[in-house]
Amino acid sequence: MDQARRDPPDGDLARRVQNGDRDAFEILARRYLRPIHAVAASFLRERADVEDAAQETFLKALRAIGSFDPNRPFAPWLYQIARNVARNRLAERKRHATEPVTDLARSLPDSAASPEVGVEGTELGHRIAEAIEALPEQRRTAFRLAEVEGYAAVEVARLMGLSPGAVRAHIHHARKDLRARLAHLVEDENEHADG
Amino acid sequence: MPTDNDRPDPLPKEWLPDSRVPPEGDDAYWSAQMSRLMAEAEPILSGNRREPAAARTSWMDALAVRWRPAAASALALAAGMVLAFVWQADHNTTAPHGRAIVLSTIVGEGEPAAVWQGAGVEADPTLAFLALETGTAQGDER
Repeated sequence: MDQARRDPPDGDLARRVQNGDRDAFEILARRYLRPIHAVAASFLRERADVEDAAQETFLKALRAIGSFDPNRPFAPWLYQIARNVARNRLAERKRHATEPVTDLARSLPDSAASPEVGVEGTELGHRIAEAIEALPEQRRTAFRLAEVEGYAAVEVARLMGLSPGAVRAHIHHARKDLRARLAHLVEDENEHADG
Repeated sequence: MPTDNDRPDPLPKEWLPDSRVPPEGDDAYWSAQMSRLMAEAEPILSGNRREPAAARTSWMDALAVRWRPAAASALALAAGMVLAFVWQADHNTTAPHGRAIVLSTIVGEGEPAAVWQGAGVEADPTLAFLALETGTAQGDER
């Protein structure tokens, strides 16, 4: 009983949020703030982008809460919103990246560039990030949430609205893909180190 | 579906990128994120308080929730209309009132003039009887 009062189910909280209950929203937000950041981080590289996407996700969810059926699982609904928000931001980022470089950008000193570029020893890290980004979306998200952010497969499954078996399969295939893609890079790196 | 036997080993730690999300224990970071979120959420929450979810539902939402009673009402209405139509059609096919009286007169009283009267002709009773007799005789001959 006390446990239920301390950790009310998502559905009850969502119902209260539908009637403008601030406390219920705060509990839900605290519960999912980090997982939603992690979802956004599986799409976006910059910390500021990840934070903005997470904030936008919760605000969008709050605006749309009236259409949410509290008898259905809340986490996958929120996850879908996060996914759409992050995708849109990523598309926007890519669109801006293809725009011609402005004079202002040209005048920036080199130190403003990403710390990963041109720094000794991080080229492999950069390639790994690229290889992860090249994974199919669900595989990449499941992999990042479980392997990088440290969530259990069951937690990832609950958030993504998948079965734990499906999440384990995604992680399995992601590991396999990454091993295949990165094996030669690691060999090259080792050869350089030996030479 | 992979099993525990064919599961590939976890990737080496050095292969994994750093987390882009601060750890759960970084209270200062998460408090700042929560404060920012709650500040931006407040106007939306006040809107929800003024207009609770029940009042916000549109007629489509209401229909989505109450589609069974709505469908039953529509079906009952349609059935009523069909019944009314059938009754009306049945009513239209009954014999005209005037002709029914004439036939009953013939059957009841054997008055041939009433036949002509039914057709709107004022007939002499004798001539009407003769005309009827002649017609019947001609019909018998054929």
